[in-house]
Amino acid sequence: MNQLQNYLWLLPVLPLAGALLNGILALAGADTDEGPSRGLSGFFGTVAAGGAFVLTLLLALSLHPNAVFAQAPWTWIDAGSFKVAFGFSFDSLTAMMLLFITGIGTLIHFYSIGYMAEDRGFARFFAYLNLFLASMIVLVLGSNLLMTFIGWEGVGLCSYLLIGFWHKEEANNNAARKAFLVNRAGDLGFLLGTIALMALMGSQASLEYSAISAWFRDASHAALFAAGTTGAGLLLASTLLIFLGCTGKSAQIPLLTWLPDAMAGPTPVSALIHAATMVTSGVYLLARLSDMFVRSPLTLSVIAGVGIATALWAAVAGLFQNDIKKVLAYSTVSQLGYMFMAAGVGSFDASLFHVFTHAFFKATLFLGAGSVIHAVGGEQDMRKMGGLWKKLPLTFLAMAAGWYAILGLPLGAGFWSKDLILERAYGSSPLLYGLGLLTAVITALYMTRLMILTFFGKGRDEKLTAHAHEAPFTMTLPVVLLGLGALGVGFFWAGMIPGLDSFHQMLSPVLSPAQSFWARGNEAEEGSALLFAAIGTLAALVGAGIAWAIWSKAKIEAVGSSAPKGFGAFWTFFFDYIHGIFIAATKALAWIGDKIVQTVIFNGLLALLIYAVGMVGDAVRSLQRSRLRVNLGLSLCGLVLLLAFFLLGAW
Amino acid sequence: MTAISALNVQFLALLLFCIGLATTLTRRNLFFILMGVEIMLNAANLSFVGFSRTFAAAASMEGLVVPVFVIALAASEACIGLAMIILVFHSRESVDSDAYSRMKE
Repeated sequence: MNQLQNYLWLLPVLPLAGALLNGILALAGADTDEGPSRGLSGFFGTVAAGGAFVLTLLLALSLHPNAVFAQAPWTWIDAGSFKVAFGFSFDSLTAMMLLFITGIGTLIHFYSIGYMAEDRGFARFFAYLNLFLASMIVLVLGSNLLMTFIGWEGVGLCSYLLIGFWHKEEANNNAARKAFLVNRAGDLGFLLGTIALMALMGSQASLEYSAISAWFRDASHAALFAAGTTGAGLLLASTLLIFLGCTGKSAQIPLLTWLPDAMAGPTPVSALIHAATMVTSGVYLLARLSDMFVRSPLTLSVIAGVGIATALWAAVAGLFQNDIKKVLAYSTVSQLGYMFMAAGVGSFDASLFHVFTHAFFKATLFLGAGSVIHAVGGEQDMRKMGGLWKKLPLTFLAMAAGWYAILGLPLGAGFWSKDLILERAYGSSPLLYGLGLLTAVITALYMTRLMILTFFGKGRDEKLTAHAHEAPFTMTLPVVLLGLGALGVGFFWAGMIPGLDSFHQMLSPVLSPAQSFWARGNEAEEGSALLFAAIGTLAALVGAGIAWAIWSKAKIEAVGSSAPKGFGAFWTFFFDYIHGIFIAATKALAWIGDKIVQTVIFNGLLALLIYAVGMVGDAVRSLQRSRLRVNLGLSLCGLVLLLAFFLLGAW
Repeated sequence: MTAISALNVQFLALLLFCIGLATTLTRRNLFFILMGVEIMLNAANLSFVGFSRTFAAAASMEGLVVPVFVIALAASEACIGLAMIILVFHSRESVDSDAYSRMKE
């Protein structure tokens, strides 16, 4: 075994220390107008993230694919046969997740030094960002469901703090609260699902992932959740509830309305939390519990259906947005839908591969959008931009790389992962494939629209675009690096370059038992990979061509707010309306609770209780009056009773 | 001289104790309460002396010695008790125990 595995605890502790240091700095500089030293807090924040990345890299390099690094600093809960360790485990799935979380995280920390340079809350921002990274690492590194839940709640908290980072505007606070509350609904599903899982496992209940996987892989347990038994119901409830938790965190139907609103936060936050890392934790959890999910085919079909519905809906919604970040937000929701669809057809490795590639190209696009917003002085409405490619050549090239990757054009990152997902979807159901392809066309449509409106044509608002300038070095470097990643990371599954094609083999020890179990019951038709790639590329080109035909010459007027109108607004806020029904029902329930249950029943009972206590009190008070003879008599009675109890009771 | 039965002595002690207790509990006059306490103490003394007759030599001495201490105790108790009665009588002009039930007021 490796010496390095004793330092697993350092992974979350490094960013946590960065968060503490930055928190202290922020407090220390609270009284000054300038705030604490930006150099110092940016340095601490980035170094903490970079340190975690280097450590992850060392661990990942020394990890044998079949091995697991595990460390449990202490036992958390010890109640009879039920034990929960405060444990970390580092297997190939964790390694893959952590590599891009800490890697992209470090780049985004670095980017933030430039992006937030003018902001008074610089140190506070880095404290939150580091805290987020620590929580995310705990989420992925935890060896059991409860550890993951700590991280799950931690990233939720940091998401809330960072969406509402500019808290002087009420809209930002509302967005933060919305994200927090919607996620809370999902978290309830996570907890209840965990409890249902424990009930299913009965006497062998354990929260450790290794134990859960082993329990489900043991064929002798299959009878416990065979069709028609209580166990089958528990399994269904558990998988559906945990999936509900995933929809909350990963912005899927029905809990998806918070993510577009979350764009109220600073752009690096949108890139890190709401595109690359936190929102993919739902996919991670599905893969972690893949052994459980493949044993519930109904849930998997639900996941696939929800995934493709979300992908399609969000892609269309993305078409109607004028806010550059909103387009990317709906695009993220749509791409997450692809990942869930892949998980739903039992291809957890494909969904994780899309998580991986998506992290790169979406972070590129968000950071590029951040550079654009920075260049035009905070304006986010694309209708006021235009013609920016000459002013921001580096940003343009990087974003073009991201655009190339998300469209799935040949050899870009999305080419490998999206086509892989579509190929697997075809094997499961041609309908899923068709809808997926349609989504790909619309994806090309809205992404090309974004590029055209932002970078091509004439500057439509001279005030903004005339003074546009390339961002400082700290911002362009991460964008360019991520842009290169967006072009290149697909080759980890390409099989074109020997030795680099490592992704599949790397995840195989964790995922293959579940996937081969699934494949046994669902013989997939093998299609020609080349044909799928050709059709996928064609779909992207069609979308891009339509977009070019519509928008390259279109007259666009920048009037009013950037929010969509008419049908676009209906489509965009459709799920907000649906939520409105539930909220109204909840409010009605709350009214009943307040006026009837609280006022009539509880207050009535309380008044009765008060009256009874008063009566008894009056009765007893007469005994307490200072009458010497009464007191003496009562104490004598007490003495006699005590004597009787001890003397007679001894027999 | 006919020997007194040990049991009868104890019965007498019990009777005395009950008289003392009843006096303490029922009378309101402070002097009578004090007297009741004295009677109970003496009933205990009588019980000790009675047992010293029936028990073996080693234990019998103790039964004779304890009453001596109790008599000393009773004397000091009477002394302090009477002094206190005189003092409280000065303030309330009464020897009724219930008149002193609100001392803290």
